[in-house]
Amino acid sequence: MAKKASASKSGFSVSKNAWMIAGIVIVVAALGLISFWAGNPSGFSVLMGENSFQPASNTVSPTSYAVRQQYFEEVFRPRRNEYHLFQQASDFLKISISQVPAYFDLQKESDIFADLPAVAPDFSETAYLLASGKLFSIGLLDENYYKEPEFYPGFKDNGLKYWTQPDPKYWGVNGYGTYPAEQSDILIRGQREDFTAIVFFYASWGVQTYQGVTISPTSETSKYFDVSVSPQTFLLEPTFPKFYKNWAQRVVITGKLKPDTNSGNYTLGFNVIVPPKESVSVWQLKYKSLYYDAASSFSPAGYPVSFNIEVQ
Amino acid sequence: MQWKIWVPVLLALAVFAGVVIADTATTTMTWVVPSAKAHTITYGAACSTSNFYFVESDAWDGNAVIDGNAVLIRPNSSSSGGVTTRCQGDKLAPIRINNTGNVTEDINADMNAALTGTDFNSLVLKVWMGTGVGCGAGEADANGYGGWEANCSATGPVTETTCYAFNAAHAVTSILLIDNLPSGDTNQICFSGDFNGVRGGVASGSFQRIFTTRTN
Repeated sequence: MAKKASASKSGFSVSKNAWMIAGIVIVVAALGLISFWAGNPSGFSVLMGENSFQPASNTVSPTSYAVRQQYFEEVFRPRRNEYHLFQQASDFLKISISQVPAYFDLQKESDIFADLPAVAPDFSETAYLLASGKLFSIGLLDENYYKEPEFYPGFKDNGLKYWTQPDPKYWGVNGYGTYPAEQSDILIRGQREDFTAIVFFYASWGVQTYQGVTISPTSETSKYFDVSVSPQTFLLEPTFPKFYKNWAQRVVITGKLKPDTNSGNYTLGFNVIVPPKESVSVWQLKYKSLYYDAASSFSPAGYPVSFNIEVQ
Repeated sequence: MQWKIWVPVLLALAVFAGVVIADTATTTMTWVVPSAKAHTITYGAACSTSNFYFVESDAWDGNAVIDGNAVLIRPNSSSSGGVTTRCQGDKLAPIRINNTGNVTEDINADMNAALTGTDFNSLVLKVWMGTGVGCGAGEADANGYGGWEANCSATGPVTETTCYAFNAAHAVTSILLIDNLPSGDTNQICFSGDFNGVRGGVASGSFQRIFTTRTN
């Protein structure tokens, strides 16, 4: 019986299994490439060496979701792996992306958010409810909410620019925010004569310094209400080039009607003033050139925190 | 007995629950739509809240003699003055204010602390709005004096060509400097520290004044 001809007769032998494996590899690679281009419209140009990065929009439209619950879960969701801040900075500054980490004195883009607590699972829905004026029990929100910058209106539109469009001619020295800045309550003499409020106090975007804060009620406020602020004095840590652990603070303000406060409408105002010297001296020694008082000669008109109280 | 095991567990749970409850607060306040009032103040070059000097030897008006009567003096981050440490020019503003909240804001200035102790004939702090690029040109060959006026004409919000003058005899507290700064918008603020004469005779020495945006 003649021997069956062997493929090895020509010196090149490829088994059937090897062809199958090669075919699978090619198909998987093709699928991966197609997926890459689909998710990254500029992927082809990037592969071809062109620098035409098109960042995904930070605006989430409700009309993109047939199921509105999906929109509620997406609209405030931190999408930090999709911001591509360093790529945008590279394009803006016209420098190589490899130079960007050193430009910001960081190792990598994720360092910007590395010191923040874990994002709460229902963060987006909760932030949406608050921003929509439907959630008032903010006393139950812990730092897994209020220490995420996406919790505050305007972060994605105004805050990210400090990384994507940096201007080294300027540096952030002062700045803070309050949220919700204006709140209301109705007190009824003989029934409920006290109020409790929560205000989230935070270092504004782009601030590179440690800011000492003391919150003080106005004299008019103290004339009609006994108020307590806790904490009254605290330190806000920087938000640039990265978010430090204590960049935001939860402040509890309680108040009680004074016996001779008449019925009517009252506006309770709270100002930011220079902290006590004992606190300032400690912070100045610790943070040296990077310590500043949050209080400044320039500030938004009105009170950073105000309560409209109707007394019946 | 098994209940002896549960007692410490229940006690631990009770303590833990107490700790958790103590960290929350039942609020009573409401709002229509929550507002975030926020701003960021950035400084040009090396200037800052406390490094903001008006040094007479920096005067542009050709009167850089240190005798307390020069005008057109740009802010400087160094108390010694000098070209390299200036923080104002036609392409640089010493201060920018960015509205980072979600509501339109008016921006006030309170210079009471900065000018305390300064008499009427001493420092006059003139403030105007930048152009978006810097502080304008102004006097011939001068950079950064676009809104300077010998006698400031702004009585309220300042513009690129009109200034407001702060001094010990002029209102210095809660002055409306910028009106209706929209959310996300940035305005520049520019300065000149003018020395308006001396107190009898020619004084010697330097007339550096420190302007600080601290309120103490």
